[in-house]
Amino acid sequence: MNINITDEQLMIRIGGGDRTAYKILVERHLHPYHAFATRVIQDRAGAEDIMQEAFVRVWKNASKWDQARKTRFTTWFYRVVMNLCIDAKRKYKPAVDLAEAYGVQSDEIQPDAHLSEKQMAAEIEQALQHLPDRQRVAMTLCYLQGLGNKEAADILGVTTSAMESLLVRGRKKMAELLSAHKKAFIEETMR
Amino acid sequence: MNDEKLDIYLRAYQAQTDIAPSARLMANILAVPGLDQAGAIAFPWNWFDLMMPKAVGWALTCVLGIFLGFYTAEQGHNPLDEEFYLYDQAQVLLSEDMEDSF
Repeated sequence: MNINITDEQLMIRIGGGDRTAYKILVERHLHPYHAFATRVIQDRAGAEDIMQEAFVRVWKNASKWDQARKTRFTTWFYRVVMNLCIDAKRKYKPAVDLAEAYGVQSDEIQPDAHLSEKQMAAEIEQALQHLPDRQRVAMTLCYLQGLGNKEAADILGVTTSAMESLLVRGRKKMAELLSAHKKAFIEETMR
Repeated sequence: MNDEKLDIYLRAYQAQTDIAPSARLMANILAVPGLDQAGAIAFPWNWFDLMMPKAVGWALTCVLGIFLGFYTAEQGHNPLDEEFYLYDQAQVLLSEDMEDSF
């Protein structure tokens, strides 16, 4: 099968029961969407369950795919995964402690210059946890998945200006959370 | 924290969470077509499989409907029956009272 075939054409073929098309679509998209789910729900095992459910939906809904609607597969699939993530996030808390997941001891936190990538990641993850759902998804789509504001706005079903506003508020809150974390650490070490 | 530093943190987080999914997950997802999907257009015989649960449901509904129809037909209920029953009871009580008085 031609590897340059678009996602939307693959969906049409999957709707006709083409397993090869399904395999191509899975291989093309599993990695980025799995990373997205992991970043939003912050639980790798949960993200795997979400990806399985999301691809079941692809398989089941492919026959209803309407190319005339001009919907991009990636936008539709991000919405599917995002909604599954938000539902999952409401149902359960992350099973694994984040610092533990990244192999970071909480009492190992050091000033910025000495922070390892793992420690920075653990701090960002903790800060992300404190953001409201929409801000977290907006931040994840734009800064971690590398999408443009327009595409991210389409996924969230908001205008581009509303998306920019979500990003500004999200960044501000994250910066505050990270600063507060640093301040608490400095006060702790000064005692 | 300034924007530049936040971007560095975000890039670190991006790199740390960019983990390839496991082969087991890929295998599980690729096994999904084992479930019969709405591929009835491509495989017409799938149509019968898809219709089977509905057909069984409708058949059971019909059987239950016919059974209830015949069952209730045998027990025709006349609204007056209840009144006659009460009337009979009143007669019995009255006769018992009369017997006692004698």
